[in-house]
Amino acid sequence: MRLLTHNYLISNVKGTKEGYPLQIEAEEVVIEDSPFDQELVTGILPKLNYEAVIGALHQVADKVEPKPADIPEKLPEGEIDTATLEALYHVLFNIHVIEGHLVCPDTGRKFPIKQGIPNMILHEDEI
Amino acid sequence: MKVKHLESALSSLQREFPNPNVALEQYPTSAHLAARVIAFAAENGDLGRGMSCLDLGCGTGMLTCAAAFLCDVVIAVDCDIEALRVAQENACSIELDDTTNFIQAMVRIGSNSRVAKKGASKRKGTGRGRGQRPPQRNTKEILIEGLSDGIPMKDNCVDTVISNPPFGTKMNEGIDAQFLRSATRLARKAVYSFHKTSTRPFLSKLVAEWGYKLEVAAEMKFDIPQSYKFHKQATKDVKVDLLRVVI
Repeated sequence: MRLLTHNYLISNVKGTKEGYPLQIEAEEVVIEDSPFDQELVTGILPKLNYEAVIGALHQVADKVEPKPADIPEKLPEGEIDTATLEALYHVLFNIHVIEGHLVCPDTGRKFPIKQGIPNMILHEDEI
Repeated sequence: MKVKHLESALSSLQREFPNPNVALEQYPTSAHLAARVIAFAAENGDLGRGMSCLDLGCGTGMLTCAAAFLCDVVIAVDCDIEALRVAQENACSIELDDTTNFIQAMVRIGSNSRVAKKGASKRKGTGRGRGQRPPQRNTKEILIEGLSDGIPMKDNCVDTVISNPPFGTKMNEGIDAQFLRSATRLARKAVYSFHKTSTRPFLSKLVAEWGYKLEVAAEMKFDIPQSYKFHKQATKDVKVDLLRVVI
């Protein structure tokens, strides 16, 4: 699961108020480099919840080797320099949580991540 | 990218479900069809660079991979982890793993659906997918709105949703309408979804009530091959519409 994918996910457990963002408990994280696509990351940034990106990165940081380049705490206004875009691309696309859990911020319900795929299926009594 | 090249690239993918589940109506989408749907969506400006797409009920990932050739971000959702693994491998095999993201989630049907009723009367011609039953009159009432539909993503979170949903022939009546409802809530621009032609009048009314425009983009026959032991015929032709809903 990429941090990009995490940005889309919201908890739908019964009793959830906000349900977003889900917290990440990472057990195994891998880096898979992919070619930097400036146009792609520039286009996608405005559509993401940047605060959730920062939060997600903090939560997985200690499992990420090598340490990724720093990204700004707040999304800069106007045009972003290439070095920052590269760092943002890397965080969003190249960091994969392979094993771990996503945790509903309101109910604490844990959704397992196995081999990179989060299982968000709820039991009947949780909907 | 030319349609024939897209089809050619997709034809190398593993289509078959490892252990097809009758209840989930798992039938693979053909490379031919996937290429054409995606090319059509691109022509309409609903898929392309800078855009995101969700494949709802992705199965072994044929539509997912087709979309991944043209879009920047594809999110593929299915309830079956085995199918998702095949889809993931398929995406890797044609180097589309950068563009594809997989989530296990299940579209739910309402608790008042025929499935839940015990002792429902047996009708002639039903069972094993034979016989055309008209859609249940109160399908509308059992449709689930919002996040309770089982998909853990916000409304209007992707540009386009593509779907080849279950048709609701296996004790899961109404699931096709639910897939369409979930698809329309998740999309910003458009939904492309396959549905039995027999459900067209019913779905047209529903879509209008939801406030969207519906087009029947194509009519075709699904040649569903014998996937299950109980299928007596080698293949079965089912009349199918490709619906395009403009959000």
